[in-house]
Amino acid sequence: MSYVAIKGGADSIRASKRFFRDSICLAKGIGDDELQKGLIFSCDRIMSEGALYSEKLAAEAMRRTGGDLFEAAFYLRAHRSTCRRIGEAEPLNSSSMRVLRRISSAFKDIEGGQILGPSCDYVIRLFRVKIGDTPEFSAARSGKSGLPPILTGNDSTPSGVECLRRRDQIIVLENKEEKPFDVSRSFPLPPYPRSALMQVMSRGETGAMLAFSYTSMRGYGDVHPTIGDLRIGYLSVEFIHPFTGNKVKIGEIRATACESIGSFNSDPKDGKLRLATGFGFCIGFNETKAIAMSILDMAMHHKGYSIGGIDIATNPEIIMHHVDGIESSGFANHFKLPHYVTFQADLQVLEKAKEQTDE
Amino acid sequence: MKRENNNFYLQQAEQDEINTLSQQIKCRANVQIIQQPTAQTLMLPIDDPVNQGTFYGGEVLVSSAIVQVNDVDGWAMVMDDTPVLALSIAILDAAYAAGVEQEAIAKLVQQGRQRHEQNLQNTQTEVAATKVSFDLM
Repeated sequence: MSYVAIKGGADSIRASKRFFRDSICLAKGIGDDELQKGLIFSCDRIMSEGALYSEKLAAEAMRRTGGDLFEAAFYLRAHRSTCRRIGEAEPLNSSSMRVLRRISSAFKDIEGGQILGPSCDYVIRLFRVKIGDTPEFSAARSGKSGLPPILTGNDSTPSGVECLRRRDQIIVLENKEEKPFDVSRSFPLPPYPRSALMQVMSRGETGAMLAFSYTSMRGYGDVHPTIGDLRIGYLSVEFIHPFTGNKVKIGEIRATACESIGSFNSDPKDGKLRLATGFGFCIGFNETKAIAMSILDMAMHHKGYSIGGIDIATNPEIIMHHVDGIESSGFANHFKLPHYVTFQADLQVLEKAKEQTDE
Repeated sequence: MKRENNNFYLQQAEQDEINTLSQQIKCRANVQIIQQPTAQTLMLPIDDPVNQGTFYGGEVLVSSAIVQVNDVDGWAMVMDDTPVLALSIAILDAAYAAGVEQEAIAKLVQQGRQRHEQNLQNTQTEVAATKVSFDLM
């Protein structure tokens, strides 16, 4: 395929941009707080898929795009590439999360307890019910719930899967990497390192991740997991103070983590039967994405979940190249650009083919 | 008071007061800006429970600055694109290490700590209300 440059149309392009800005100008009046705290799940999707945690820029991206999440994530991903990378934070472990919500569908009683947290799982999706009007919510918001506070903020809350791990009932995959691969600097060749697959999925587009994992759940694969541990909450970001050499807390980020448990498999390490697990993690609150990621992780790393070897979710080649929202939306949208010459060539080929068929 | 705690707690304190105090320190002490506050990114390595390895879960936007107050180094790294706050906290960090305005800095740190703990308390009250133990039928 070849591209042919076009020229002209500068005034119309300027007018189009102006028209776009005018159409969404009311967004300018929406403040950072309203967007960051009111539309938290949109902000979190933008940050997660843009692979950059910045609540300020997520809000700004939403204003500039009229709430188009694909475009907004594009803004963040583009901005990320313009910033100097100063280094790595200390590794983040989801068991040290200050949890707001933490559930397990595998075990009724888990260390630390089941915490429903802020969730719309129990909301009836009918407009006549208003969440903000329920008395329980208002009481808790105003700090008058009368319940004893639990201060587990700095405690470690182990995953619900941890008890199985301690009992040696979980497959621990071999770690073949000294340091994690970074797909934002170079793209790996197959067979893809696990860390590269996890990074790609962690910044993957929620809809794509869900759709691919759904293929396995529904029948084009064989993953039907039990959620061992699903949590949302805050993780501390720490860095080393350059002058004291000690750890310094920079701030906290919202995050979601999910460990799914699959059926038992033969452990490649010693051939014993153990349970397979998958891990999903993304910045921001996005349970659907974390669950989908854990399913894809399990499907790709345990071939027993493949049916006939032709399914989608078990294929790293498919997942690696098709879950990124910036790339896929960019490709889809490029079809809108002028293809006059290539299409004329298509028409000429059609005419020639017709001539030859007629002959 | 641990110097390393100041960076986080000062971000929770009243920002106008932090900026005012850093301006006062600029007037009273010799403040040199070694590195202007700039927005940078930090990679976020995530511990992977499946293979006990790590992977990158994304990046976080931070702002950092390096200064000297009376020849003592100070540094700050704060969340998001907030260069003014980064510079002010870096000045406070160096001033604290140099023994300049320590009492005023400690007061602001305390203010930030109290705000953070109050927020935690409020959140944990709401979290506690959602703790559940389902009964089997």
